[in-house]
Amino acid sequence: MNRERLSLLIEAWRDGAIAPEDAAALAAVIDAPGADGAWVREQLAAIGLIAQALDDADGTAMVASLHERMRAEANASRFVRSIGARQAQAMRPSRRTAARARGRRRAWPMALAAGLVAAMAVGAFLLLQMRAADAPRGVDLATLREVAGTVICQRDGHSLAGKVGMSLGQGDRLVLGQDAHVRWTYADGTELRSDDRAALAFPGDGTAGKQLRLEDGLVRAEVAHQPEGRPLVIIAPVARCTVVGTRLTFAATAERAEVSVAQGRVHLQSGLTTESVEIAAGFTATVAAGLTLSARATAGGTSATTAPAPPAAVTAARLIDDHEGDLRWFHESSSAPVDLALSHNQAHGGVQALHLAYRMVVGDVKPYAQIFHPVHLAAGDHRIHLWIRVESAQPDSRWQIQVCDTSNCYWKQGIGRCADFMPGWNEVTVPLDDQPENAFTANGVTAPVYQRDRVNAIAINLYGGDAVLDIDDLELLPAP
Amino acid sequence: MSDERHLVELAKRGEIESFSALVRLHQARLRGLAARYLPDADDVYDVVQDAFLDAFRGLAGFDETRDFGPWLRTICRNRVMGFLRARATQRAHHLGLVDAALVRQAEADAASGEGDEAGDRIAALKHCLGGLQDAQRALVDLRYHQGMGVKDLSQRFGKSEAGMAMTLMRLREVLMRCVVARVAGR
Repeated sequence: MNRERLSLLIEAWRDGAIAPEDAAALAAVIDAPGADGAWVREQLAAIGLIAQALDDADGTAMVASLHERMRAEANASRFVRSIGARQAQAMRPSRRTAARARGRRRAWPMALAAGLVAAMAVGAFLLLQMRAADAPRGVDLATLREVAGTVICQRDGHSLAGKVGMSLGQGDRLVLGQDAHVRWTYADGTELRSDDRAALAFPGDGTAGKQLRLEDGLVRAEVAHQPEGRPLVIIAPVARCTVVGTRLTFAATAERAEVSVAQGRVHLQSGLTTESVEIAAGFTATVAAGLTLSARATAGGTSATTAPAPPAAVTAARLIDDHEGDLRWFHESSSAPVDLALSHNQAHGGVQALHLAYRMVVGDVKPYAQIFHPVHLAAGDHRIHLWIRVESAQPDSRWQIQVCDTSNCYWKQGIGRCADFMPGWNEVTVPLDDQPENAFTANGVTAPVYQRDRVNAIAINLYGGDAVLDIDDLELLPAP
Repeated sequence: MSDERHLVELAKRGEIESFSALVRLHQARLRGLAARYLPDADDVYDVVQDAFLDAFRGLAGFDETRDFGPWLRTICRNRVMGFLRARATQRAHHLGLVDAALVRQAEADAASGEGDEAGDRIAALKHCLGGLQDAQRALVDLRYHQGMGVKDLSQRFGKSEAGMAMTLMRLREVLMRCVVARVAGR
């Protein structure tokens, strides 16, 4: 095969656009011992090296990112050392090793206690408490970082005073007194807080992900992105909340559970019925007997996460966000990464605009990035209106505006190629397709596709190629 | 005791800063090594970062009387091969064929030590890229940094896809000749 042909195959393979028979031919050449094989291997190596030379020049970004991951590792390792598994050194022991160690460590305080006279019983009890506090737990452990007021850790039938640095593991139960406060963290940076008469337990061994049983009270969580298939699960008496990575508050009693999401998205399953709901940022859902499970705007939520309640009906334009205050757009955590910030460099009026930078990863299982802005529709809202300015865009990069209700986001509200925008600010007007005259019927999509009274966000998707753009002055307009 | 050995000793005691210094010392070489088999810069980034984490976790088992670099490169090769093997099973069968061939190549290179010098080539390549004309440099950047496809590039530059592939091949060869000359000190 000549080198021109081989070169074309290499490029097609890189683009994922190679025909099956050509891929087989290219693989055969890579394996071949002759000059062609050496040449192809050298070309592939050259591509990789060129990409590296053009990329992170001195590895600064990698060092910074690694630093965080190593800190998480080190925290976990410190725990292992603290339980006396010296042979493990920097490595965590297997769960089986930890269990054997636990057995050995429990034995001697028991023997000691048996030999003590009655007058020493209290001392022996205290000793048992201390040993129990040091007993090793399962692999996915948390550590108490803040303790205020009366915090009791119930472990193996003992009641221990909660203290900063105490490790928490499977089977532990925390009980908080009046006005008490506690904060605990996991090795991946996930952080939870609870206060005032809460009762919670750590039922899981970590193999299926982090688990927390909230028996009573309230927890606030900032959850780092969890591994696929191993979400953080918070279980209340009447509900089960599944979290992949987000900020939320979960309050529970024996009869009621309520989840408020500040960032990201959470799945809440009722334990009373078969209902479940996806809760977006700025929304709250409640599980209780007699209540239909649905997400609603968080009452008294922060301005950064909650869309203001709309007027009953409008006849004039409604400004949703001029981006002069806090950032109120959120990245959909299950979509591809996108840089999202308020920028002072460009604004359509005022001094700030939303700045978006999306870099497509070829072959990514998440082939689009999505951001959303909390909003509720009022009667009379007819069109979405905003301004877009493209800084750079690959030819195939595309934008799309969607309207989301409490069940889903619906596409085809607006769609186009980023590269088709003119230089400078471009005005974009997108009809809300629940209006009969605006109904999209192409490809079998008919309006209305969402429930107007359950709309909670406007979303923007970027996909198909790299794009850097600014967005400003998001409005809802009445009918012309 | 060499600076590197001292850093390794401190890192084994849990000093993250010392391990970060080792990362800075070795990251270019590891990226160069991984890039031999992974043309996508993001894949290289992920694999090399995971390799460093493997090393961090395994420091306790590292024999300090031996050189740290070869140990790291072995870990990195293993990560590369693991990545390619996993990807080969996840992609369309025909794309996986090429990944499987690259795994075999990585195994062969591991036996011969091929690719250990790749970090030096990145430094040389940076210099050689500066010698390209602006239009050539822009094309290389669009293709190998920004990831623009050959089809889009051919439309943008008014060439056939085969012609664009040829242009890219010639640019690679120019750059690689420059790198070889520079590494050889000529």
